[in-house]
Amino acid sequence: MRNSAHVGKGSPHRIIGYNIQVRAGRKSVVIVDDDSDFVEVMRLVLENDDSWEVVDTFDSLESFFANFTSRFIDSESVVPDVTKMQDRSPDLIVLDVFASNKPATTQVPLTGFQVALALRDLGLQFGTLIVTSMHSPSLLSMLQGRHKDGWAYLVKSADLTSSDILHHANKALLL
Amino acid sequence: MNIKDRRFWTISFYIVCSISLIVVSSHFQALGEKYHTLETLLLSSTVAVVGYLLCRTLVLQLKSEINGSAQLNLKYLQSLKVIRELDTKTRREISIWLHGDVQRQLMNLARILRDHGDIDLASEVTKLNDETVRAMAHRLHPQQLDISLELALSDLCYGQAELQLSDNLHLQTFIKSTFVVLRTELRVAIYRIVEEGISNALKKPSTQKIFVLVSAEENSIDISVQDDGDKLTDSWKKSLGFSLIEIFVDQFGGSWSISNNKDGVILRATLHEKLSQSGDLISKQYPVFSQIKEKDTK
Repeated sequence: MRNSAHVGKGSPHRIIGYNIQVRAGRKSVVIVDDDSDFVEVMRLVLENDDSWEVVDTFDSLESFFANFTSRFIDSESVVPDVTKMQDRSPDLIVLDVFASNKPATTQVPLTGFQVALALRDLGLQFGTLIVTSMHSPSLLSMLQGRHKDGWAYLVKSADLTSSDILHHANKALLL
Repeated sequence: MNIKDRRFWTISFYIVCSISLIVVSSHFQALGEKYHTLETLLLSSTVAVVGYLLCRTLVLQLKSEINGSAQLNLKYLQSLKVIRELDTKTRREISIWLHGDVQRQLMNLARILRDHGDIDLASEVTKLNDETVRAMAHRLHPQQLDISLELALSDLCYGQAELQLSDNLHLQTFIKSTFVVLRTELRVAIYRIVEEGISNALKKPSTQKIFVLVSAEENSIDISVQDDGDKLTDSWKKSLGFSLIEIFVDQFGGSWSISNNKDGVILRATLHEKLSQSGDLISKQYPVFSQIKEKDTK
């Protein structure tokens, strides 16, 4: 797990959970994937494009969820501040469907969907790019139907190009 | 004393009694008609005693055999359950390994090959990854099942069957974070039964339409796969696929049938399972999430 910067929308100098500013004109991205090579590819592609800044990466959904929420806990409370979370959510969260660190035999594994839905349930607004090596025509069709709500789906493949990644990242952004 | 010993002693006792009876009977016969009543009385008493003892021993033996057989049956059922669970778990673990590590390595290899300018070999590796490894992983355990039953069944029926689910089964994918939790074994069983039903319907060239219905009641899951193809004939035989349905149905104490109806052939299966589990998975895994929600509500 790596912590670097965290980012907010709008003002380029707004400081949020990670206490590091995002460069002006760039959109903040958090990547959650247990495939470190893929994370590096995503980071390189997005950061080579002037519109993005990868502010944090996590190797599991569990560490992302725990770390993300804990950043909004102040000294007087044990519960994260929802208003701050809503105000300071990243522009885009890239979530691998299956990046759970629970054993493979867990009855119901935590999926990227559940984490994204749980955060949206709290009122956080961010684009969600679901990445997976699983080919699912139904998932693709479901997410295409929710494109306006900020959902996009990227299938990992060796043939994936930089423009594919950028296209899907932009597609996932909330309009 | 074990069953074999007991049998041996019962038979020996019976033989000894029979020989004694013959000897005593011949002895009284030799004494003449005067002793005929005494002979009959002795004979009847001996037969009654021997019969009683024999019956008692046989009843005891039978009881012990029934107990032994019940224990054996219980052990068989327990072993079967362990084997099924192990099978599901192993399939899933191998599938996750193929989907994860193996695919990742192959994709990296393809990238490296492409960077070195070996485009043809890179394409071969990509093809191996996409067509063979991914397909094998899917056959072992469709990963969609770990997201939701709805998604897995939608993909299974995609382009080949119409799917209808009861409202309470539209779970997990996009219903916030609250949903009914069906345990893995149940999801696998439903998926495999539908898969078998569709595959059976598609074997008939006359099939044009397949309709899949899965509905969840409080204590059971009902599945039906209706096709409009040729009807079953008298020479219809159970295929291996139907034996698989039988295994999954047995696992949940359910029942299944396949029959002709006005439209074609319908396969029906019922799995018994109390569907009381439901809830918010995130809250269960992260108690802090419930606190956030509570605070937010206040």
